[in-house]
Parts: sequence; C-alpha cells; structure tokens
Amino acid sequence: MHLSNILLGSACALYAAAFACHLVSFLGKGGSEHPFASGFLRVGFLISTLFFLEEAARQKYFLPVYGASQALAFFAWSLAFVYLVLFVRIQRESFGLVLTPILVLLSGGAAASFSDGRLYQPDSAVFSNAYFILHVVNAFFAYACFTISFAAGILYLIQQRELKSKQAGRFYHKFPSLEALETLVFQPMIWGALLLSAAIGAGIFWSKSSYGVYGLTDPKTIATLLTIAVYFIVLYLHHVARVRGKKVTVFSLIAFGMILVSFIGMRFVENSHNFIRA
Amino acid sequence: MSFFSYGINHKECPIEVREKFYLDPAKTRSALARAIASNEIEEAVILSTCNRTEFYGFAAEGDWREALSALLEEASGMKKSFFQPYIEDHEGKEAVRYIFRVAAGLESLVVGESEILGQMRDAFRMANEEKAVHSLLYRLMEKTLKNGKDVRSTTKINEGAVSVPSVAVELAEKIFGKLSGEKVMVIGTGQMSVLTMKNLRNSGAEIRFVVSRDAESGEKTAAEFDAVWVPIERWAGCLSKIDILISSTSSPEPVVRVKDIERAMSERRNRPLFLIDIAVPRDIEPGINALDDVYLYNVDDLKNVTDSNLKLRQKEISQAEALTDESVLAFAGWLEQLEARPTLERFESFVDGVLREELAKSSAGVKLGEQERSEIRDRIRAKLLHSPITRIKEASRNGGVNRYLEALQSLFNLDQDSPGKKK
Repeated sequence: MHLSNILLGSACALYAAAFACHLVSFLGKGGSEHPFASGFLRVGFLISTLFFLEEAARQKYFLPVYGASQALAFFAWSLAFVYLVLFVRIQRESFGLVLTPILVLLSGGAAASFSDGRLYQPDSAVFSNAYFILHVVNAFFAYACFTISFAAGILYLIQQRELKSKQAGRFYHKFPSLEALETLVFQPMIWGALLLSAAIGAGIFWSKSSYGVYGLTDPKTIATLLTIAVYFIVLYLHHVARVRGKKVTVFSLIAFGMILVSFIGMRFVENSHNFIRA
Repeated sequence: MSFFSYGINHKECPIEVREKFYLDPAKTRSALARAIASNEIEEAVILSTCNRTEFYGFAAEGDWREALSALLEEASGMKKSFFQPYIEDHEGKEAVRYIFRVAAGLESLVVGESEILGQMRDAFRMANEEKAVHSLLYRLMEKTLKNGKDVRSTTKINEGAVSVPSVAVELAEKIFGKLSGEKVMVIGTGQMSVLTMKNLRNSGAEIRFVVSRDAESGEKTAAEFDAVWVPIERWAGCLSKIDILISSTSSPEPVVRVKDIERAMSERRNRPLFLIDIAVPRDIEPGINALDDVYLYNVDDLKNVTDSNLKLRQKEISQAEALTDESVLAFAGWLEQLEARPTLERFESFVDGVLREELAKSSAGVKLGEQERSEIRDRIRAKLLHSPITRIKEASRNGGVNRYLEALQSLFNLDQDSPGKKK
C-alpha cells in the first residue's frame, strides 16, 4: 500500500474517531463537546497535511490538487483548517457532530479513489502558475466556508423544528440558539462569497495566461458563476433586505446545493477542470 | 447528646399547613433565643421557607423533641396535635445526612434548586448573630454549605429552568441567544406575567410596552419596568417593535389572532417572534405556532420544558448523592475524632501517671538522671500508645470508634465525657 494512501486512510479513521466522540457526547448526559474529539480531529488534520507534503514532494508540485481523490482530500483539509483555525468559536457548539461525518466522507472518498498519480503528468508550467495556486486555494477555502455555513443551516432548521415541537429534547438542550446559528450561517457565507469571487477572478487570469482564453464558457465556470450569484442574492436578502429566519436559511441550503452541482456534478460533464481527462 | 433535625416540609405537609408555620426573621430570631435558653438544646439554626420550617442543631440532654415541639407550638400558635402528623425528625448521623441533603437540594421540591443554599446561608448567618451556633453546629453548617456548593458546581443538578418565568427566559435565549435588549411587550399585568417580566429584564431583555385595560394599574406596572403603557385597543400596532410577547389576560376570547401575527411578521421580515401565553383560557390563537419563525408557548408547553429539564436533573441525582454521602462520612469521621479526643487524652494521662510512678519506684536504688528517666519514659510511652492510638484514629475515620473508646474506658476505668456538654 502506498504511503499517501496510508496517510489518507489514517486521517479518515481519526475523523471517524472524532465523529464517534461527538456522537457519544451528544447521546450522553454531558455537554456538547467531548474531550477527545478535538484531539482526534487535530491529529487527523496534521496527517492530511502530511499527505499533501508527501504528494508535493513526490509529484514535484507545490499544490498537488488534480483528480477526484486529491480534490476531495484537499476539500477535507480546507474544511478542517477553516473549522479548526478560522472559526474556533464554533468548535464548542455541536458543529463537530455535523462536520466530522462530512470529513469522514470526503477523506474516505479520497482514500478509496486514490491512485499514485503516475497515470497523469500535468504540465508543470501551467500548474505552478501563481494564478492557478490562488484560484485553487481560494476556491477550496470558499467551499469550506460554504460547508460550515451549510452545517449551521442544518443545525438551525433542526433547532427551530425542536422549538416548534415544544418537546425540549436532546437537540434543544445541546444545540446553540437560533440567533447564534443564524450568525454562523451568514458569517462564513460572506467569507465564502468573497473567496469564491477571488477564485473566479484568479481562474480567469490563469486561463488567459496559460491558454490564451478567459474560459468563461466552460461549464464549470458557468455553474460557479451561477452559484456565486445565488449566494450574493441570499446575502443581499439577509444583510440588505433584512430578511431573517427559516426562509433565508433554506435559501442558503439551496445555494449549497448549487455548490455540490458545480463541485461534484461538473465532474461528469466535459469541462476544462477535469485535468485527469485533459 | 447528638445532632438533630426537626420540622415540617413539603414531602408530607400540605401547603395550607406549611404556610401557618412560616417564621419571618423576627419570629425566627425569637425562636432561636428560646431554643438555646432551654436545657435540651445546645445549638440551633432555623430554616423557614415556603417549603419547610425546620430546626437543625445539637441537643444537650433531655427530650429535645418535646422541647422543639413546644417551641414550634409557641412560634406558630398552632396546637401540637395539628402539626405532629407532619413532623419529620432525625437524630445523630441521620440528622447530619439530612441537613447535608437539604443544602444540596436533594430534599427540595424542585430537586437541585439553588435558592435553598442561599436560604441555608441566611439561616446560618441569623443563628450566628443570635449566638445560637457554637463550634459543632458551626462546623456542620460550614461543611453543609460547602457540599451544597460543590454538588452544584460538579454536577448538573441545578441546570435547566424549572419554573414558568425561568423557562420563558431559557426559551428566549434559545431563540435570541444571550438576551441583550430584546424588546418585550406584556398584555395583562397578572402576578405570573410580572414575575416573567422581572426574569426577562434581569437576563438582559428590555420591557418596552405594558398593555392593559386599566390605565392606572398598567401605568403603575409600566413605571416599575421603565416601560410605556399601551391601551388594550392599540397593542397590535406595537407588534413590529418587539421580539417577545407575554399575554396573561382574563379574556374569555383569544386576544392575539393569526392575522395580527401574519401582518406583523411581514413587517418584521421574518425576524423571530416569541409568544408566551400564560393565560387560561388561552389568549393567543394556537394556529399562530404554524407560522414560520413564530414560537408560541402556552402554560402546558412551558410545563413540558420544565418536565424535560427536571428529567435531566434526575439523572444527576445519584452523582449528587454520592458526593453528599462522602461529605457526610468525612464529617462523621471528624466528629468521631473529636469525640475520641477526651478519652484518648485521659488514657495518655493514665499511662503517663503509671510510668512516672513505676519509674520513680524502680529507679530508687539506681543512679538515673532526670533526663535518662524521661527518655526511658518517652520510649515506653511511644511503644505502648502508638498502636492503640493509630487504631482509634483509623476507626474514627471509618466509623466504629465507639467500641474502642468504650473498651478503653472500661478496661482502664477512665471517666466518661464528650464534647458539647454544657459547662
């Protein structure tokens, strides 16, 4: 078995262990956080960082992100980074319960679909371009922010349902307030929208400098532009039109659905982002 | 001579009886003075709340039950036969355990409630001021209060709101987060809505409008909360300016209707609205809860939340009981050590006397200096006393010291005495 595969598998196992801890904590009588959950998550994150260092050294690229496996692994890494570093506050607020299974799926998918990369040798000059690196890093961090926003949206809907049902069950006791959740839906969303805009800009410049065209007609670019437009509409509704509550949260989930379409769905459509097939 | 607890509480005694035995501070002080003036009571603390009127203390000699019964009769003006069936009393270690459990909230009507700890502290302070507390009860109360505090900080026994006003605050915080200026409107100025307003204001909400038919009482309540009085016909116009609405009128028909809230929610751009209906019959149409971002709770719904929080508390009881038992055991150990001390001192003095006498006799013909004699005496004394004293100390920590003390007293003919005896 390849070292990269072992690293990915280990990260996935540690994320799974973190999820199990969160689950135990959630089902138990204690608070919403488990003392070991954060530890497992941090070690998993470090191991997935090692995976990228190992891949970079092996492939001789600064940012070895091409193909489904590495894309999923980098998405998981970005998500863990955003969760552990940028939004430290939410680690206390039951997010681990929703985010760790996503990390398990992403890193598990990456491990399952991993190949050692010898089948494909990308063009070094094109992929070492600074615009490309900016494009990829911004895009993945934007997706990570949107995922945090999505998780908060799910928790919001669960908590508001709990409050409507008036049963004061486990979710009522362990999840944060609606106000806190709403903030956590829209704060990462602002960051995500800005980062995705930057990613689109960098991508356009990269396409022009590398291929001589702006690449705006690429299906993935179109899907991403539509996604960012939907996110800006949701942000407008919330911050300018001052629409609050369930409806605007549902809109945010719909916007995340478009992320899934542009990030995953477009892999099944011929486009310039499928580097393996390029 | 032992610790005692004696009185009535919510477990057996109905509220109609309990309320007759409530002792205000003046009556409590007077009862304390009479208690310690009696021959039977050495030290005393009186705890009188809406759920209990109880005497805790250390009895000297005679029938302390009879003395306290007479005292309660006098303080309340009720015949003994009236309250006797409801009396709960404990003596010795059981009394110590009971007092610890009361402060821990384990004997409370609402298990784990925090108020009792403050009430215990006040009762202790008052008894101390009246000089009704000396070393033994002082130590017991000190340990009792510490255990009560530890139980609440170590377990979750006091978590979750368990009264209507506090549940209203808890729910508001689940919707709006930590309250910081959320606007409240109150329709009707009943006792429960005033209590709920107080709780909300203490938690950070702002009481904005008080709605009532009667201008005089409405304005009075509004002034109390720095709010504005609004006549009942005009309350709907204020809906878009508030986040929390409490209604408790005596109207036979609903006051707040679906169309009022629909209109308000449109103006509020779906900013969440929390409605609390504490009126019976209900003031707010139940269909309102189906509207998005509107959270309507009536009295039964609030009780559901209370019950759910109480269930969570129940799970913490065993942990709180274990902590309390540990504290009781530690206190009992200290008490036994204290009880053992006079006997041990007499035993040591007996051994010292024998040694002094025998050494003086046996060294009469031998050239032994005072220092040598003293060294020999100390060595024999240490060898003789080490084992029994260690055993007795161990026994006093683990319980069962009395048989050792009795054996010592009986075998060496030591006089009996014990701490706390009136001089």
